[in-house]
Amino acid sequence: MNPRRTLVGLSLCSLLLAGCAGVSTSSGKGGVKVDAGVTDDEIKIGLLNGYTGPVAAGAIAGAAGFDARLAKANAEGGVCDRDLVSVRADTKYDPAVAVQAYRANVDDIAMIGQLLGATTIFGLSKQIARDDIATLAATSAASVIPLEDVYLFTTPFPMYVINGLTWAQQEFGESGNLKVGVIYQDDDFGEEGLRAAKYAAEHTDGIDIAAEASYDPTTEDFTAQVLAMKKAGVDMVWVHGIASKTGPILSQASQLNFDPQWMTVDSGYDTTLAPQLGNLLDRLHVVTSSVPYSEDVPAMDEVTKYVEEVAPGTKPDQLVVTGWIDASVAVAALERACEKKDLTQKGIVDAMEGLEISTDGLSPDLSYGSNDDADSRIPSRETRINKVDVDAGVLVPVTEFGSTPLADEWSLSDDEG
Amino acid sequence: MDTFIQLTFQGVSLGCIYALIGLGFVIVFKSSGVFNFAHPVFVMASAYIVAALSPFGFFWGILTAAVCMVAVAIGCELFVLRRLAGRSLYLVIMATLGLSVMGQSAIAMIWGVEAQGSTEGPMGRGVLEIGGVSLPWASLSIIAVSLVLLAALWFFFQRTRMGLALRATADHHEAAMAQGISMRRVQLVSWGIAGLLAVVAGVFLGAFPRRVSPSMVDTALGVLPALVIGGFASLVGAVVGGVSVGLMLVLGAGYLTSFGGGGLYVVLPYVAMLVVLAVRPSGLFGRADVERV
Repeated sequence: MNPRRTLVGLSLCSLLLAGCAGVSTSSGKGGVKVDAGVTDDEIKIGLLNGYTGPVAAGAIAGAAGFDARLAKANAEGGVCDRDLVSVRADTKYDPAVAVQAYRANVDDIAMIGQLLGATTIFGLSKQIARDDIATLAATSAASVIPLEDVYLFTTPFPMYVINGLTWAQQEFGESGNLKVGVIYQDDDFGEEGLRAAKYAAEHTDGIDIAAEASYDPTTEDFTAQVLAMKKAGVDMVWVHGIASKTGPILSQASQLNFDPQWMTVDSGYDTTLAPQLGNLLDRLHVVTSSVPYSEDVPAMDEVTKYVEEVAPGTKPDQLVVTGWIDASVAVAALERACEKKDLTQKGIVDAMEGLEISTDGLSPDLSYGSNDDADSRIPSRETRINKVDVDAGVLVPVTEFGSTPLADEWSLSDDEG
Repeated sequence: MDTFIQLTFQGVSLGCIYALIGLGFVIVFKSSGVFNFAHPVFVMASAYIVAALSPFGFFWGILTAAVCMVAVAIGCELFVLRRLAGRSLYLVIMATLGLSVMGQSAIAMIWGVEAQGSTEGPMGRGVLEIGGVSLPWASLSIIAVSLVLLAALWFFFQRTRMGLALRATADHHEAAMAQGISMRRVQLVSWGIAGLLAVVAGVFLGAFPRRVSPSMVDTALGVLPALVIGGFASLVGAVVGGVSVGLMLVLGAGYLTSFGGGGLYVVLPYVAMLVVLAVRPSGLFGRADVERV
């Protein structure tokens, strides 16, 4: 055998293997095992979100909250004596763009702190599992919980719907009967909301899903959807979609003389709706799994202080708080990984197992069970109901955080569509 | 029946907006052969300007937007597209795409990425009730103003010397030049008209119940099937295509909810577009190029 050829062959094989293995592991400062996105000075966390496009306002607010929480951690010395740095990549709320953003960044970040959209997460799920990178899903879609290495940092949407409809039945139901209509976005996110509403109706006497209508995110006219609700004579409409469409839906309903109670999830409302919709928001209730930005809880002073520091002028958006909570999970996972002397992407995934997080009143406490038991990774089942302060645009709570027995019973197998 | 009338009315109203956007594309395409991908940004920018200036007076907002958009449109033609005359089509397309990206970025820098209220102005939020049908004043305004504008455009193209020059240019550039028609002037006028149409479309697209937001660009680009259906080089085609797409979207959303998971209405315009392309590639009102050999 020609020794030179053998050497060249071996070199090529080793290069190939190195390429397949992705990033290489080494020992860093403090004897901590590190690989992608971690140097002796900093730990990089990827925020893959739609900074332009239909969810841009929410994405920017969420990233501001995330960065503010990182600033707090850095002010306290960082994690493993390293500063935490976020790396933003714009997905334009487009799964195809998100794939490119993921590929461009995955070898340069320790974990993904935000990955927006259930459809996008499903599209990337195989790569995430293959890369073994902890990914905090910027969605409340329960359907992503069973995915390997993907973690929610909020109560999943089915809990919003179940808790919300149960509350609405008590508040608005005549003799305990509530005719509900569901207008939902025509994608995984919206369909999960519809399934949860049907689950609540099937398991609750008096709740009836009388109408359902989907809409594509590009829709500009909601006459058909609103008329479907009006014809069915529903008492309440559950809107499971994004905030930029909640406005036109409520507005068009008012023009068609349809005035039911409305409920939506936190992503279905943002503060910019208030100036345009005004009193139309009087009949809207928003279910959230975190406190409003304006609420006086101990941690809020820190939130506002650090948000003003990293993103001055940020509007009081609910998603700022959500971003802070999201980063709290990331920081807790990194601290735990540091304790275990393993800040590799895989080490951070292992650190998520059994993680317990208190957000100091910003949301219910979050807990993550075994990586092998998806139901144990539902971080919380509690939500609260809010109304809108029309003048300020902010949400005002009408209930405390809590969950209903039906929400406590719900399991991921109930979400199989 | 009320439901059908209600949906048809809203479909026509939405279709009129598509028609106005489509006319902006077609007028530029006819005079200069350029498919202006920056036109949706003109539409969005107009809406942002009107929304921003509405507190000082709705009509001042429109006037300012009109002046700005005519200036921007003419500037694009004068300083970018004219310099690319005779260059490859690919280069021209990339230039208009570049203008589009620059425009979107400029708007994001000025107003941010959040929604900026609406451009309802005197159209208001009121509704005219006729029988069981609700006719929002905003939708009635859209239809009425669109009809007036279409009549004005018809008059301009049929009864004025500049209109005749534009038509002649659209038919045959060299022949028009041989008749002494100034191509530069014709193109400036057509880009200016497109800028004005963008203002009207932007105001209607951002009016209650819709909002002024960055996604207006995507909505305006949704006019593409309407242009293919009607024919890229036909003003009548842009109107018929636009109204058809509006009707397909709204009536489809009302009556096709049982099919395709309820989302079939979104692809209807594209299905129609493919059918038209297969049967009559130049569009329903387009004219196939015939070359004598």
